[in-house]
Amino acid sequence: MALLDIQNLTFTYAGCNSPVLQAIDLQVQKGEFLLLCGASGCGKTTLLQLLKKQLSPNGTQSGEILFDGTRITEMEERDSVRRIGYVRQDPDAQIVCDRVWHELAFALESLGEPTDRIRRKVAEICSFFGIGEWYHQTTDTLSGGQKQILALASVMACEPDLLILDEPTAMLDPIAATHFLACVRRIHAEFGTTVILAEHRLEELFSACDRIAWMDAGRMLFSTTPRETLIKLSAHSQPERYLPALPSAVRLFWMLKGEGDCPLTVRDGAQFLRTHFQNAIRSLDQAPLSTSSKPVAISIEDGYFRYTREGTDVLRGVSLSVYEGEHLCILGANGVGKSTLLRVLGGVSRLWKGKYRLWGKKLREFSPKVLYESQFAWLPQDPKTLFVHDTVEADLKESTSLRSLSAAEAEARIEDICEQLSIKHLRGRHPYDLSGGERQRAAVAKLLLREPKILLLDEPTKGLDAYDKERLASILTAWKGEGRVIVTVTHDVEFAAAFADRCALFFDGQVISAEAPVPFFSGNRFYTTAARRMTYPYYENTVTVEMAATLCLQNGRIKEAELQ
Amino acid sequence: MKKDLFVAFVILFVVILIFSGVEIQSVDEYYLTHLDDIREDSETVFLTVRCDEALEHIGQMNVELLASGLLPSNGVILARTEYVLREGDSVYEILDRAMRHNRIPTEYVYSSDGGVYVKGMGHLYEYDCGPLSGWSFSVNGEPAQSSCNRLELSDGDEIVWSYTCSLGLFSAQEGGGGQ
Amino acid sequence: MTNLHPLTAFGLFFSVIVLTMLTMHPVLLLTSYFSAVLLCGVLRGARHLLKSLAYSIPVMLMLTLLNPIFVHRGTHILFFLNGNPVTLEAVAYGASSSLMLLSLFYWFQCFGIVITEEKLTYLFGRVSPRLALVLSMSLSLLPCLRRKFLEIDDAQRALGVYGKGGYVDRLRAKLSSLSILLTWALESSVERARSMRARGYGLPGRTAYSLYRRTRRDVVSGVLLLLLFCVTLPLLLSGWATFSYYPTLCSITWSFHFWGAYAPLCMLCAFPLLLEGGERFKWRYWTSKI
Repeated sequence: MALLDIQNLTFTYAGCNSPVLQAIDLQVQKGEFLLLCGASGCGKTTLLQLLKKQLSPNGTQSGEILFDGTRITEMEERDSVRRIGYVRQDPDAQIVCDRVWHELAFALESLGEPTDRIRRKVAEICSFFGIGEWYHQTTDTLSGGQKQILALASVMACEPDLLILDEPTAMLDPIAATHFLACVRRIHAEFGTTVILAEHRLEELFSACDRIAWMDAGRMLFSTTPRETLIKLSAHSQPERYLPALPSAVRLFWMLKGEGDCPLTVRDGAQFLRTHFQNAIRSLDQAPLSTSSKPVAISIEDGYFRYTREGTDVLRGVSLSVYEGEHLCILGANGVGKSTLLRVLGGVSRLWKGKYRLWGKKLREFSPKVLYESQFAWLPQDPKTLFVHDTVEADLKESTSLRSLSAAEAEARIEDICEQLSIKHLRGRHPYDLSGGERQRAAVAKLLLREPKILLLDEPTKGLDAYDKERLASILTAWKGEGRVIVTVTHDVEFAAAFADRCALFFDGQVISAEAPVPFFSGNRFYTTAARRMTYPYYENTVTVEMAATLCLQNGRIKEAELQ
Repeated sequence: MKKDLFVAFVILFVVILIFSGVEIQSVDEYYLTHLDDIREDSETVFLTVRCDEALEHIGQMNVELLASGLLPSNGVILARTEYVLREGDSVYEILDRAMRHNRIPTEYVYSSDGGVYVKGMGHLYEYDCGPLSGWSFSVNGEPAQSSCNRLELSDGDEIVWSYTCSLGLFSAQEGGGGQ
Repeated sequence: MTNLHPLTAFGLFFSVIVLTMLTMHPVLLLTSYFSAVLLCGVLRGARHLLKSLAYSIPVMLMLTLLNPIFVHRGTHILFFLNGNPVTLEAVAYGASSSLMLLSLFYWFQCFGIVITEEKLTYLFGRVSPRLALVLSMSLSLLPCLRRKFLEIDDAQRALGVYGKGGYVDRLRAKLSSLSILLTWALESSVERARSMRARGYGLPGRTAYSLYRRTRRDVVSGVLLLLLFCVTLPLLLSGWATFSYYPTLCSITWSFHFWGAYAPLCMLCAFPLLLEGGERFKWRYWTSKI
């Protein structure tokens, strides 16, 4: 008997007309690792929430969900708590206690376990997850990655049969994400816990999971093994829609119309290349960088910055120039000070030593009004902090009020922006009711309506799926073309490789290098794109899957005879 | 460093301010009063200070006070003495001069409406003998109706200050004391 | 001392602080003061202690001199200030009360070092597990809210809402930032509540996990402390070790009554010092054997 049996499930939210889930059929066997894929808004979260009684949303449900033979709605409360564990996206929304040890003991306390048993369990869990060092810390001092591990550990303390994870790495940087997913895989491998994971970051997971279930617009398209996924996807209409979501190796395979086994990992992809394509042409011709002839928008020379007088310098001798018309991506590990650099660039924080020039002039030559209303626009990590009013409409109107336009003009501008960003249908909604991607676009709309010269983005791709990332990138590229500047701080290497004009690496308080994506990522062996890792050393200077595909096609296939 | 210096200056300033407003006298200086000689034509009044009622109510008395032996056994703190009445003197001025001359420590309370009342005299303070105890005075046998600095005196007046343990039943000092 | 069970530690500080507040006898106060200072020095380090002592001297002086300004009773008059006598007895009383205040200060400092936030939560939580959880959550909420407000503040500042207009406009902008915080907090609290329910909050029979194990040492110390406290309290209240300041300073009598109240207080004050000193001595002793 399957551990989880979803039969013909249809669900409509209370107060809505159209169903969010339509006729979903899915069986999950005991000990299986199921990967749930699909674009934002396809219904993944709703489906996962319906699996846990306490989290089920309000609405009408038809069809059955059976957990180990019992209906989810009829499960005993204690059973539901103990046997099904749920980890969600936002680490801050899950952690309730002030101390790590208390958080770990929370679920066991609720179940009424005696202190001795809790003590043993907690000790075990800490050792397994490596939490021992920060056992006594307060939870607000933990990093995002640590918080998610803590959430996972506190859920695992009950030893659930089914572990459900809803985009757990969305808010994490790549290193923390890798560490977290490794923990999940360990749990699956060592305990045989059934895992259902909904994710966008498929690069590492495609090879790790047992099955992939793909959803689209509330329907389950298929569920099959990873290798068959591509075949199933290509059978659908408009397969290009799903392409960006796939891992690099799979994408390459698709673009090159490969035959045989589909490669899943970087290593598989590299092998696929070597066995099927020649490498007479080693790299594509690169157009030289043209930005150095453009005027300098912002320049920092030997800049130092610290937050408190007694603290250490976060920026230690930073030298950086940002040119007009370019999109600069600043990359680097988590917590090193990239956001601080962005603040300094945006004039929000002042250097205590070093030169800062905006369009060649000193910062104090600009009044704060001019600075914030005409020059800079800053998109923070959490776009929620931008919205003051109850509707998106009201916030957009506030932006246009800066320019003293007539009502008709303002309305025309708002219409235009909403059209570009596809948020027309969201104008009357509360900003907090929107999904991550929608809110991001609404925030960008609010900022673009202010008509700034320099757009500063802090981790704009956090929590977005591949499709939303592409859309954001195209919006930014379209906007950039009009003689303005974009500076992005991110650790999304793939995004930077595909859409930036220049990339800079921030490390140890300094900007280490600032070059075009191709030389930048080609110069790195570790901190680089999957495409680069796949193609090196077979091909050079190849940082995106598109470039790899082009090169392969230029080179031509290896004839069968030459394979001997 | 600068902040510390600033704070030091402020403190110094405050200290100087305080010191300029205070007046320090040594014991002898305070008690040095010049009593006028009694001459034939000078106006005089008679002052007595007694605490025998307190001695009658030993049971209610403050233990330490009793143990100290500071109260006169005969109940007389100041025997009937004649003092020269100066121009505009009230009971308060006479008392003050007499107490200073005899080196009897007296504590006055200056109330907000300008009245003065005696809190303690010769180590005997109000409430030392129960909740209704305190100092009261009479002029020419009449219990006082106003505070001691409001009562003008004339030649030959008899002022008697006595410590009572049942304030309110006898004379009460206006503006202060028990009740 | 930090290894002591929170209940025992709390009991110790409670006893010592209450007893210090109830007495005005200079010998008792001095004992309490020196024990507190010594303990603070042991727990905090000598440098910190010396600095704090240096700052406490002006405070002591001020408090000592404050009393004679208002109280003029006493037989030994030192001089007259604005017509009022400044007596030795009043100064002595001032000195004693400043001693009491300062010893309370140092006891509270030690209390703060030994009984951490966690232990305090534990102590409150013994009343009910739910209370402990609520306390724990509230404690985590404050820094979380503060952090979020800073984020919101930054974003709004970058929008330029604080730059324009007069004071009133800026105030209004700050208030709107606060309203964003409120919306976020409400939203976040709903999410948190769901997360709690998903992990079983609300099920009957909740227990409270405590980090602290009761050892034999804790129990024995606790009983001892309780005994000493119960002995000293009624003695002090019924006046076994009183000291009078007015109208004259009484002499310090080493009577049976005095020792009856003083001895247990001495033992109480010495207890934490012995504990700390004992631990350190043992450490030195054993390491010297290596």
